[in-house]
Amino acid sequence: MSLNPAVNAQADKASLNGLDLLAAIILHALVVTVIAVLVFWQEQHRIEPLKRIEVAMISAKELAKMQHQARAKPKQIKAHRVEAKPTPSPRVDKSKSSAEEAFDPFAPLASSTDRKQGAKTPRAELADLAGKQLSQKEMDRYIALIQAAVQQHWKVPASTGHTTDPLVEMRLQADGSVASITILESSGSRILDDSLKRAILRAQPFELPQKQFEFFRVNRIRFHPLN
Amino acid sequence: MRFLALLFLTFLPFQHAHAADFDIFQSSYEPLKLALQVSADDALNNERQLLYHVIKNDLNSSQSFKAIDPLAFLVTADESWRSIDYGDWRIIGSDILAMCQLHAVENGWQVELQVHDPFREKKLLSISIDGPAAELRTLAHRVADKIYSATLGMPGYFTSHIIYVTKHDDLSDLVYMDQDGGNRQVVGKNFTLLLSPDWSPDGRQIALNTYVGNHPRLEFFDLQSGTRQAFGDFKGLNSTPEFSPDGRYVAATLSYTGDTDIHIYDIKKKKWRQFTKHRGIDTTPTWSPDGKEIAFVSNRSGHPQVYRKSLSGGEATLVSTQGNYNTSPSWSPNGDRIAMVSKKDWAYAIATVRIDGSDIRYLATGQRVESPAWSPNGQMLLYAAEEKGIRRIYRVPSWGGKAEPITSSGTDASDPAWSRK
Repeated sequence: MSLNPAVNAQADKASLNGLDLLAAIILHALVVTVIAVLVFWQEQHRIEPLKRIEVAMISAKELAKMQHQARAKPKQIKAHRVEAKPTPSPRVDKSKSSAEEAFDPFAPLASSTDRKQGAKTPRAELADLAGKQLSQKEMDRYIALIQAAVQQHWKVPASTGHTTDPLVEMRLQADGSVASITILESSGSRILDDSLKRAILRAQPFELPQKQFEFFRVNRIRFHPLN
Repeated sequence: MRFLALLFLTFLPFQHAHAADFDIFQSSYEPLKLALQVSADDALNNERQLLYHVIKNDLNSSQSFKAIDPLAFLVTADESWRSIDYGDWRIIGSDILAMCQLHAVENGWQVELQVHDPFREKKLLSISIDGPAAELRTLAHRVADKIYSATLGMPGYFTSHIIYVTKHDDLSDLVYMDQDGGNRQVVGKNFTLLLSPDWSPDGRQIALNTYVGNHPRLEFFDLQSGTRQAFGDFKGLNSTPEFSPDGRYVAATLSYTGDTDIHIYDIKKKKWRQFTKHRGIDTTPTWSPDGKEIAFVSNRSGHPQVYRKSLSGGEATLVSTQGNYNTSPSWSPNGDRIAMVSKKDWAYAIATVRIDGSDIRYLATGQRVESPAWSPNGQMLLYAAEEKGIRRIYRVPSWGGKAEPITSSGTDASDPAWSRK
């Protein structure tokens, strides 16, 4: 009998050792998994670790804007949400009920599979997210190309007197050609306004990123004449 | 994560109206490329050539246009009169297409003119212009004016004229010519001395500073009849006359009071009145285009500087603020700038400033640069400068293009004045 407790204790000890081992293995597996996930994560995002932060920040700001718009045009937003999220989570339901509560940066993540179900994205948003898909560096490169092309073809043939700096909206097509040019703010001089249109028309077609074209669909150019 | 971000943003229903925003800065002025087609019946080949060369020369000389070599054209004049394919003109880089067709009509010429903008795919002008038989050159200048104004939205100056002074031995002549140097003729001969002519707004008279012996006086010179009429003959200095924009007055420098000041002559009433009254020397008046102010040079600060003063009274305000030598002011017909001779780093230059004295622009330097004079539309300036001991007249765009001589290197020329229309 006196042995029994010892045996028991030994058995207990053995079983305890078995548990410990199991726990250790699980723990190791967990650690390895976490490391693997982290490595994978890092691998995926090694190039622009800052960019994630940037997107999140802008999104929050945009959400605030959205709230503002939600109040301004509730009907439009509702229609859009119904279309975009056929299987809404309770959280999304909540966001539907009140624009205030819609301010939840995690909500869209919950319905991440909706994308594949043919949800249509308004053009303006496409432009915005296409812009965010491009790195700042790439975007700057394309903008610099457009800038250089327009500047090269911008001919001011005579003195225009005292003018203000004109603002031009340039709409582009996917092939880089000009869809339309609108002078939003005139310079006050006809020679100058004409020269802007001619510069853009001469400079086309522009080199644009195929996939992120939406970002460049509508552009605004502020021209600064010498006077 | 990108995918998630994409989805995240997918559901933002706000309207982001534009995406790429950026700035473009003008670095220089550049001429528009001009495709100029002039056609006519074979019998009129000489006239066609003349028309083509005068128009081309006018527009090229403005430095606002640069004519493309016709060899580069992809279509003939006949084809383009039948139908215009703007692509044909874009491919050779034409900013502007101007098509002229010359016809002989009873008692003269007729030019059919069309101006197109191939890049904007727009017809800017379609017009028919008539002219007398003896004046094909003038007609060509008028056509050039039309092309210029249809493209740039401001009047051309190609039908304007220039007078200047040429000195030979001890005598001076007054020379008249078209702005392109054509039709040059001596209109006033053998003056003892001839200085600072100015053109009346109607183009009929010239106000002059002449000398009788050693004594200076002011005269009107009638371009048609050649008659001279003195209107300022006081003790001391009588110089630098300039007509007011309405042609009613002449401002000039007189010194009979003991001080050298600006006085104004009323042509109708034949009366002088004193405009500036200051101990210093005030000279070379120039009227603002609205006729409400006069700019002049004064050494009241110790150095010659440009001031302006309202005709309704008040104090003179300083215009030139750069350097300590600024003379010969000439007010732009657009009113926004004053041209002058300005000393910069030991060199004399033709410069323009805004009337508040800001934004000085140096246009040309040279030996003895003198007497800037504006084209009627304010786009071009004439001035005199000396090269290898000979004074010549140059023109330079007011925005700072290339300075080109318009008188020959063999004869003296100075004191240019540009007609006001």
